Amino acid sequence: MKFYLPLVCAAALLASCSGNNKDTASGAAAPAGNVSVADLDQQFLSAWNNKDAAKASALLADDVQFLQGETRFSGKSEVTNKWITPTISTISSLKTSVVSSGNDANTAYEAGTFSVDVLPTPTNNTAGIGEGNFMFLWKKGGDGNWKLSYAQLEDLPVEVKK
Amino acid sequence: MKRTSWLFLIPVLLFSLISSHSAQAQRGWSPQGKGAAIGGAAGILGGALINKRNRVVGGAIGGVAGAGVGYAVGKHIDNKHKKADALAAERAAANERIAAANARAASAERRATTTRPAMGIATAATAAGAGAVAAQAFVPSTPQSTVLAAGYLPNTQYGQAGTAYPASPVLRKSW
Repeated sequence: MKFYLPLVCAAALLASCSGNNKDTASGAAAPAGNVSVADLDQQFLSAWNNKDAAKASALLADDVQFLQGETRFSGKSEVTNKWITPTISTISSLKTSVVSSGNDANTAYEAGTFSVDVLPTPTNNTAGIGEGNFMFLWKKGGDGNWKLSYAQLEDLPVEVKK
Repeated sequence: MKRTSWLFLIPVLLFSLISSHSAQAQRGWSPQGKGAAIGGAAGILGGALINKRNRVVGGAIGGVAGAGVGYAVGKHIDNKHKKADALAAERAAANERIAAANARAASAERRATTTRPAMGIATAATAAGAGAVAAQAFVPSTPQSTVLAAGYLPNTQYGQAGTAYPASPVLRKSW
């Protein structure tokens, strides 16, 4: 009796400590593999915010696909020339809010919403605020480096900045 | 059962108290309180088991130490919950903003459509005369002031093929 009672108590206490883990649904970066997709996206965003087109382009895979509205760009050079280079100087303060992310040994993705300041241009001299949804898919290359393989943006109408 | 065996009943009683209380009122106990109580109960049990010479002292020391550790664990769990809640609230706010922006944009586009002649398709052949190659091009005719007045930037590439949102008089492409 003397030995059983503590064992029963200990078992009950241990059982009480398990379970009840609420699924916090995606959200914060939880790298399960050997890469943090949040870090990859942060590098990409930093390149945009620093207006470093070369750095942003260097993070693209050779066979990257970019989809936005009615445009479909394929390959590093087309995506660089038709998306990054013309756009990088027109925006600032790019921020993302991640809704879903995940990764395994060779792929990683992050998706959510973004907001960005749209700078005035000669043809449109009013500043604006743009918002939308994004999805980035990263793949691990043969050399072990992670590159952006697929990017999809859905933009909402740009509001006049007040 | 020896005279010290009653000491082992304390954690059991504490545990059953916690279980019943938390089952009846999920929000009654803070994670810190729950952690401290569970840790304290475990500490009493462990202390009493380890210190065989004086189980009362062992239980007391174990209880205090266990409660401290339990409180710290509970605090950590509470912080995690608060962080997750804040993230969820941020997402909900973002979704609301996007829904509101969509509604306003749809309304602005409707207004723009009613105040302008329908987006015409001009045939180059009619302008250039007979023999010209019939090439079609969109004629952007939305007054930019209408879009601006509605609180949105006008799409200066409206009607241009090869752009992301050629059919939208309101500028959509930001990033």
